Amino acid sequence: MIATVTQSSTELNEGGTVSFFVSTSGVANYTQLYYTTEDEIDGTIKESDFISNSLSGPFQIFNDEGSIDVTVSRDRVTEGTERFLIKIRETSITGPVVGISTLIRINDTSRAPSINASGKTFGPIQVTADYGVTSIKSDWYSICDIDSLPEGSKVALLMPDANLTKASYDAFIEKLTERNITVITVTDPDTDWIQPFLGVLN
Amino acid sequence: MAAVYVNNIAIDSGEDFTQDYTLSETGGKLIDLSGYRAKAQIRKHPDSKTAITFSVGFPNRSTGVLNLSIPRWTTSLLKPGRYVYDIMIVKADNKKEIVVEGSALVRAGITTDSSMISPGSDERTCIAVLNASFKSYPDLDTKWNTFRSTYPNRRFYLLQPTLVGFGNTVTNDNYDQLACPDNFLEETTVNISPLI
Repeated sequence: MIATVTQSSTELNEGGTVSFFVSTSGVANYTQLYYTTEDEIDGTIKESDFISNSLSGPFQIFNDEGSIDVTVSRDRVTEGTERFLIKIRETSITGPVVGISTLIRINDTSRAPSINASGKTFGPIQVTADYGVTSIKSDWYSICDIDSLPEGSKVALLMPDANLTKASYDAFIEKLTERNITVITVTDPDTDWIQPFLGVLN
Repeated sequence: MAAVYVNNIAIDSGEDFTQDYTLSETGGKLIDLSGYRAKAQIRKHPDSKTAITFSVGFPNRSTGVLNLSIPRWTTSLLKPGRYVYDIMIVKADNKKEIVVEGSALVRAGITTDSSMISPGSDERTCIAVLNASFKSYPDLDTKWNTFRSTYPNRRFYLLQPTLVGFGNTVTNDNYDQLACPDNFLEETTVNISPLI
């Protein structure tokens, strides 16, 4: 047996429902098949992520069609984006797989605002990709509350793409210079925005 | 509706100030601060045009705990004397409410050392400006744990250049583009007011 699986959406928010439509060929009416919900990475999807509190179940085929509705729980837990798919199986929830859906992404709507803000970590904050156009530059000085730093301070800056924000950067440096605040430039070849700040910054 | 509590504080000039507040309803029920924002300022007089803004943290939103802090390089700017301050919370529906007010007695420090007042490496402000990261979640998750356990007092700003620019609220797509680890998102203040 081969089952073709399509879905109503490949992305949903917490609290949303995605419907899976299963098509078969030549399968007797009322034949019972099974679905199992599986994640992209073992262990990240759990029963409590779904309203049914279950990762598997039976459904029936009629006129070579069947359907499964899966509703994602809404919670206040920050889990990050999760992805899952369903597998259609014969005979039982551990039986042979006859069809697989595409990956469905669960947007973690509980992420913003943050659960417990430290008051020391900010972002991501969208700023303008100005490409050197001064009229649309962003005020990094204000956004990062540099005014609260004393004169003679230092700030550490990672900015792998200089062209992307040239106007904002130039204006930022100008304001820092006025207050005798210097920049410690850090770099990383691999778009890692944490590693460069793990060391001493003098 | 929460009562307005009067809470008087003392701030030592040139020293780090930090204080936790637990907010409760009139009947004593703790306020769940999930989705709330807060702003707190100190002024010489209620009508003073200049103010110093506290850093506000939410160590435990569900039990109503809010933290105010001012670093020592900012308290050193306060002259000894009596000031006033208050804490305003902004609810999820944008309704604003003063929940704590009081006087702040600023005391002069006796021992002074200007070299210790400026932020050092452990308190460095760190700014990362990038529009995407190709790192993986588990890798960055571990690194963020290391960063925060090693440098709990570094301020960290993650700026993401986009075509829509400043003032637009981030979505899951922004988090994904930067591969923001969950432990970072659990403690961050995203681009909501007063940052906007």
